[in-house]
Amino acid sequence: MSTKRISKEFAEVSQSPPEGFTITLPPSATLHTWHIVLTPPPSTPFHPGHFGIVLTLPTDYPFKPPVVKFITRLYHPNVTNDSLGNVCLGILKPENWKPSTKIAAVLEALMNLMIEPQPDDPLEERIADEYRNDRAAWEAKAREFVNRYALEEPVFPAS
Amino acid sequence: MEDQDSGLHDMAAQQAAAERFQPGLEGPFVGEKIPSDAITQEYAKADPIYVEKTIALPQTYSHYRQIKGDGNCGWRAIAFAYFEKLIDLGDQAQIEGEVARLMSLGHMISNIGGYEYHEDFAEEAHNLLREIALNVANPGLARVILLQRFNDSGIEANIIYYFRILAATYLKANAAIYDDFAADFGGIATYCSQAIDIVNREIEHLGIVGLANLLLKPIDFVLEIAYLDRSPGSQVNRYRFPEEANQQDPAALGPTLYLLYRPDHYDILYRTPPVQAPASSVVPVSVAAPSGPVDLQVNRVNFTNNIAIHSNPPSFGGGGMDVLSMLPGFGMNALGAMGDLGPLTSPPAAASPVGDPFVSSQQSGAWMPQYPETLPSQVPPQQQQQQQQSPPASLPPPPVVSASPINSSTPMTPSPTMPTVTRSSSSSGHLPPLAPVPQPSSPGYRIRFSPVQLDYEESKRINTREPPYQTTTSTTFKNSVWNRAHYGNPDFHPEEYVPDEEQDVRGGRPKNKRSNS
Repeated sequence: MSTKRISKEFAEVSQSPPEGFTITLPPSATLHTWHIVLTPPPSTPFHPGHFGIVLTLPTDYPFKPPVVKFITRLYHPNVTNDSLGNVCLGILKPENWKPSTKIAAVLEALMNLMIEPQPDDPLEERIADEYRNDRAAWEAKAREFVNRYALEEPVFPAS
Repeated sequence: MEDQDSGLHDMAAQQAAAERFQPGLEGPFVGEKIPSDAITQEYAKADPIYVEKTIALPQTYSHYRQIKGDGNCGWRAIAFAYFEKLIDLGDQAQIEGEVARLMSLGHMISNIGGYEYHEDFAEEAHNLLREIALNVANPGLARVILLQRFNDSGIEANIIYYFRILAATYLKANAAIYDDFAADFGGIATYCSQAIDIVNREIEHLGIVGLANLLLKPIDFVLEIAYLDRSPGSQVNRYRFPEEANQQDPAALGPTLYLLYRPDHYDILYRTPPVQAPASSVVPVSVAAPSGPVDLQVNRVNFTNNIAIHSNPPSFGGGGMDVLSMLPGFGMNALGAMGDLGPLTSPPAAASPVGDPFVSSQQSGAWMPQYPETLPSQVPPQQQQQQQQSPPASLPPPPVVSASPINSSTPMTPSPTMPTVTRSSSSSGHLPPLAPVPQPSSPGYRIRFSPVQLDYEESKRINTREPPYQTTTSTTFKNSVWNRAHYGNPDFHPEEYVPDEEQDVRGGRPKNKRSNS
């Protein structure tokens, strides 16, 4: 059932992808795992990085929210600073999730998070404090992370 | 995730577990239709308001259907009841009309409701309607299909979400009316987005209003909700949607869906069918029945007056049941009819009428253990103890004992007993003359329920203390209700550690106890 909805959404998103995103299905396509590359705009310290994101759709999607993880490390208050790359995105929280939300809207929210971090709802307290109190230091570290991790095309894990 | 969890403090881990905990997730999404007595039993030990309301409930609503309490129960209950009512009505054209009508709402759902991909949710609901329409000639099959679809998580999730967006769409379309009701949320649109669009978020009044108006009202369906709560009253409070249905004559209302609301939960109720109304008015017999035992005693007194029953006291001590077996005074009624045949032929005839009550006394024997103290209250205390020690065992003898006085009495006083019979039958309602033999006993035991409980409360207070509580907690009677540590004991008190016992302050008993255990 949900595959119909998912293929519909994938068709829409791959025909006219939101700006800054490229979306592909992994080779052994199950439709439930999407490989996404996010390219933040120049206004952000994350430019010119390319950030790999794995979007997983649960079997009971759309009644459970998609799961989004960064596979490229970045220095961001709302993304865990580790290899897991968990993201804190309001609309994906179970208590907020609406089955009528499009994946395109999720991607849009991700882009907004890159442009404007949400230090009040952080996953990394320390980075959030730094973002609030010493923006220059935060930006410097964010750029450093981009240089270290995000300049090359992301390599998605074979799942 | 794992890494994080292991890093958490114990308390945090527990809190996380508590947040993940979801109550009431056992069982199917929609259960089978079962007699609503189950609700009465469920609340038998609750506070008096619940007890009273749930005892009255099955008289109005004979059956109910349990709905899984996962936060969707109100939506699920309305949706299921809607489909089921369409099956009940059995009108294929109407069901197909519903498919067309709901499909025509599609534009409204996307333009006014603003919902993406609503077709996917809608499709499951429409498919189910079509499937039901195809099978409506075979309602049994249609119901099986319905129950099966609602217990298929992939299908029911779509149907429920479809009902959510239907309700929200109606509310948004009538924002001018409903904005004020959602002032806390800053308008109906925000309300819908925060309270209706979210999965597993329970239905609230506005959601019900939306569904009632968009889904039910156009086909003249009415939704009646019975509120079972602690509010004063002897019956559940009822409220109907749409609102104007509350003022109308219930008989003039369209097909009605019934829900039972208990704080935070909805189940489906089924009204006692009107066809059975006479049958259910027999239930009042059980209400009138309290007078039953009273009548019985009157009969007994008559007996002692008319017949010198010296054997009466023993038969009494034999277990109060022979009050019922005396009841067969009705048996004399039958005898009276046959009585003309002559005293000598009557004994065999007498055996059967007396035998019948005996059967009934066995039936009541089944409930004896449950309310053993009811009888004592009618009986002198000393005999009471005897009874309590051996209630069931003493059942068989009394009828035999009482059989002889009845037999002997038959030739003597057939006529005086007749009036008492008619009196009791008139007081207990519409019992036909011949019916009394089985009737008074079986309703009698239903009847006994409440008044007996009163007696039972009283006797408990006054004089039955000792025998039951001598055995506080002995291993031998561990499973007996007479054991105070048994949950069925009216003075239930769990076993607890008593330091004195260890020190043998109370003499031999603690020792015994220890040797027992």
